[in-house]
Amino acid sequence: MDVKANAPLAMARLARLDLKADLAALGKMASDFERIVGYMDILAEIDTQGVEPMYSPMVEPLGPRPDEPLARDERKADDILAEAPERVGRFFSVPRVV
Amino acid sequence: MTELWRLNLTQASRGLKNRDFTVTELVGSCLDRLKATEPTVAACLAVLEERALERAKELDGQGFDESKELWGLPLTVKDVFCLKGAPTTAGSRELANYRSAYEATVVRRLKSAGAVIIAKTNCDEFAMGSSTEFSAFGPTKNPHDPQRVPGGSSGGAAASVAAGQAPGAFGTDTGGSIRQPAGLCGCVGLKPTYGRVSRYGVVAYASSLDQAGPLARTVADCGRLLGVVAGPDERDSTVSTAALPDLKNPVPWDPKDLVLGLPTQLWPSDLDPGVAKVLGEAKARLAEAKVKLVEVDLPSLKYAVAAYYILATAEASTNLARYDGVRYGFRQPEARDLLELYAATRQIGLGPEARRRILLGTFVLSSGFYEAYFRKAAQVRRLVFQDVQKALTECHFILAPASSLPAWPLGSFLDDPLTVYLMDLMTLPLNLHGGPGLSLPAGLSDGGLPVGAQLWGRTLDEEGLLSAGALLEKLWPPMPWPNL
Amino acid sequence: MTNMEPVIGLEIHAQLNTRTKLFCSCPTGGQTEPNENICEICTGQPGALPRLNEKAVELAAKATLALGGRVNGFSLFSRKNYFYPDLPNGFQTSQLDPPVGQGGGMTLTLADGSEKFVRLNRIHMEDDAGKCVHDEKRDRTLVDLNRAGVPLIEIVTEPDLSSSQEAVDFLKKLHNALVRLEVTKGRLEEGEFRCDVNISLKPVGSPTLGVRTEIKNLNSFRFVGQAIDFEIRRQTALYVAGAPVEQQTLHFDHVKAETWPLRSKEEAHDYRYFPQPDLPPVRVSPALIERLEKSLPPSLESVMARYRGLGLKDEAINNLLSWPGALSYFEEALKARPEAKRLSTLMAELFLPACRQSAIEPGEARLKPAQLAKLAQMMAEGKLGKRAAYEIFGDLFETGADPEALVQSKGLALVSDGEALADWAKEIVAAHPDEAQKYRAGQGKILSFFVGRLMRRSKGAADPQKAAQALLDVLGPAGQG
Repeated sequence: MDVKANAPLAMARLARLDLKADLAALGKMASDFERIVGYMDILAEIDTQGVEPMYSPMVEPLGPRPDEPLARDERKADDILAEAPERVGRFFSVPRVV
Repeated sequence: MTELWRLNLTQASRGLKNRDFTVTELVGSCLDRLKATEPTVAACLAVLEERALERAKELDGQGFDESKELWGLPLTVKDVFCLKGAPTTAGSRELANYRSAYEATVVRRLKSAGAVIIAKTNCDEFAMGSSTEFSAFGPTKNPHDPQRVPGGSSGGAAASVAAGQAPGAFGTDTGGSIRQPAGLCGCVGLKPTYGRVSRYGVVAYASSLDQAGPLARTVADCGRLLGVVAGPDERDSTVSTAALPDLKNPVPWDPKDLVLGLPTQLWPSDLDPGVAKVLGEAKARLAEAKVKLVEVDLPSLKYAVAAYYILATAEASTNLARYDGVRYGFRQPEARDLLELYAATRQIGLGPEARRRILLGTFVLSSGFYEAYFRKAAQVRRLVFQDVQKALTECHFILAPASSLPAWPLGSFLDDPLTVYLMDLMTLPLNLHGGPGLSLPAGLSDGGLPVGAQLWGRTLDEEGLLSAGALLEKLWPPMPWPNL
Repeated sequence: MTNMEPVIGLEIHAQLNTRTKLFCSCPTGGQTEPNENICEICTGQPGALPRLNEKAVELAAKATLALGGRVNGFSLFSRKNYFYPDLPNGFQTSQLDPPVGQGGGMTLTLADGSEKFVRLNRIHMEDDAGKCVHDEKRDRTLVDLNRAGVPLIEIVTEPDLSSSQEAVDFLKKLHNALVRLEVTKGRLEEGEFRCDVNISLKPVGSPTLGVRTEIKNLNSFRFVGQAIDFEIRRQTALYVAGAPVEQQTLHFDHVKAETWPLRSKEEAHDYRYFPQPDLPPVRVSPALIERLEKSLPPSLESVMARYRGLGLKDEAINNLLSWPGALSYFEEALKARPEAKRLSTLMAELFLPACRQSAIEPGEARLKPAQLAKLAQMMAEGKLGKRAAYEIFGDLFETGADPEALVQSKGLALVSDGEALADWAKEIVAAHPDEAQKYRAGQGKILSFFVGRLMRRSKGAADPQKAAQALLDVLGPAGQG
């Protein structure tokens, strides 16, 4: 299938990966991709008409939380900002989005 | 002084209570053992020696506290658990220098139960792998044969327990990542019911499949560790609100009243001879004790690996989207524009297996393929769930090998991802189902490698599972220490 | 050339009126610095998990019910995946299918007096992104995540609107309704109520829709009107020229009042929606729906009718409706039974602008509704003139003092207020034309009749000498017989 043959690079663009940076590995990555997706196609043989999809096995999960703010001393903003690779004042900073 | 590191959790706790030794002595012994074995097994990414000894001193000063279930007991946690102020790398270059601003619920509960966390253990990057070879910081080695893998992704956790670095550890199991390495390293590993343990602060791989759980050297120790961390958490809305059973001191199940179901799909005729031999003997011992072994049929298992890898990679592809170099973690500094920043950061920061799974997951969710892959896989998940539910009405527990192979030589399958995925068939159906599973050593192969078996229980029935596990543990040979 | 008519649909984003964010306990406002109200959840730290705010669900359900829609007892959040620096997780958490609310709509009164029902397609919850600031000097984009995770509802209409006027009328009416319900504070300048517009043209009477364009992120009613008008002209010109309309996303330049295509993306978006595995399905119980239904205020139509009955003009009513908290303040003040019209004027001209200037809500003002009502009543009863009222208002608003006491202490009571005396003098003279005629004909002592009337009108509060002077000003000198 053509779409699938082009898929690794198209998916890399969507997923923000630079596969072309590693040309040596690109061919292997693409052939692994094709083999694995080819294996996944086994699902085509099973009839699942009318089967309700199961997205999670949650049992009796917790409901929503009350609308109450944290106490100020529980806030972690400064610790979080300390991890930023680049900062301008209290802003996270990235190359300019034109 | 005896070698305190040899004590299991229960023994060590008793010794502390009787004041046979101090926390500092116990923790010190484990740290010494850790330093002695680490050059061979490489189980740890960070050793928290200073912190641990300080805490030990503090606990010694306060004196034994009966109300604290894990008072003074040294443990390790897989490096996917956030520990405030310590590195949390998830085995990834992306997070090599990342320090979490908050603490995982599991870690918080362990600490308030009096545990002393001595190290953070190695794992496949973002818990994606079955051998711990996909750690960005190098592989962990199997304590029983350092030329071989410890399994994965919680390979560091299993190796640390098997090597005597700590009597207990916490790992995560998304497709078998606790049960399989426990089997390959010869220790006990418990994957609780999905939602039994909070995932808050556990670096996510696949959110609907991930579950944190303990590894230790006995079934009772696993129960004790689970009891401390399990139960509702206001920070994780997928956690079950169901009442917590008593998980301490499991009473071995009456063998004459135990029916174990063996799925034909997981006991193939071409099972690895080493595994088949050890498990054959293990089954014989069960039969001797009058445990009833019946065949059960799980026909949908034919599709389980495909369904699992679709669902898991789909969730992973978006769970890993946050590693973009904007707010924390690695950033490719030379990037000229935003697109380049994203692509270069992620290409370099994320390893080959993580990138492979991101590509697959992006694909199965993408426009035009969602129905045929993602939605279909979720439907197959329902069928697997129904098959397991039905089988569990025909038996108390399902019995299966913990791995289709004993520990394999390092590097064996690095270039063959599909084969490794297919090997996960033994463990991953349980993650699709959501129920609890317990892996325990069944014996040593002729080559001296541990072989494990696993039980699958009914949803939320960890109590029964531990009880059945306690029986098997009694009937099967004890696991010898590795020669380290 | 066939006549073309516009087909317009709206997607409105309203910030829900909660104290904390949609999935974490960070405050939704009140920050003084960038990245102040952030935590591990709204910055997408490894291992962090969302937990839904129950108030957001309630408000979304309440809005749905008030707009005549159906609340789904079971709805799901999905992940909408794309990369942007202000999107911490690499996905937005939004409801795809099923959303919390479906259906409903609002009736518009058109210019010709006829009515039109504008249908709603759906109402769903989602979290907002952060904010990017572009720093030209440094050539960097700066990211502030205070807004990231703030709860929104998105209200999607059917393409039932046919002109900029209809679209703007609909938006104003919707804004009023949501503000009155306290579903949103609706402060446009804060981006708490904003809208995307979908427009296409079709031949009049044809059921087939043309290619549509989408104008993104308009945060003022005026811009919505201008953007739609411009886009209709642009598309019409394309049809006339026989050129195709391109399906695209547009940005509105409010300085030039023109739409422009947003910079072409490298690839079409593929959001890869799938159910968010970290959140259980959203449940809204029949009991909650019942409770919310009971809590709904009377319909906008009945409120309008009641206020019109009190003598308020539609413009004044709409003004009250568009200010968050203004209506409940007004209702509270009405309890003191002041003259409604004067009260609404005081609110529109003095009280609400003062609130905006102090950046507070009416309910937070020191000046309590009963005091404002008293002020209105004093004016209506002629105890205080307009100028004096405006003069003391600043003090009243600052201190919340009793207007009567303040008027006393400042000696501003009407007795010395020439303006009010003059009003009364005019009123009394006009009411007694015969006596005025006699006075002007030379019966000078009739002045005392007028003074007596004025004193009675002022309930004895007027200074008689000043009252006489005021009357003289109106009547002029007495005639010379």
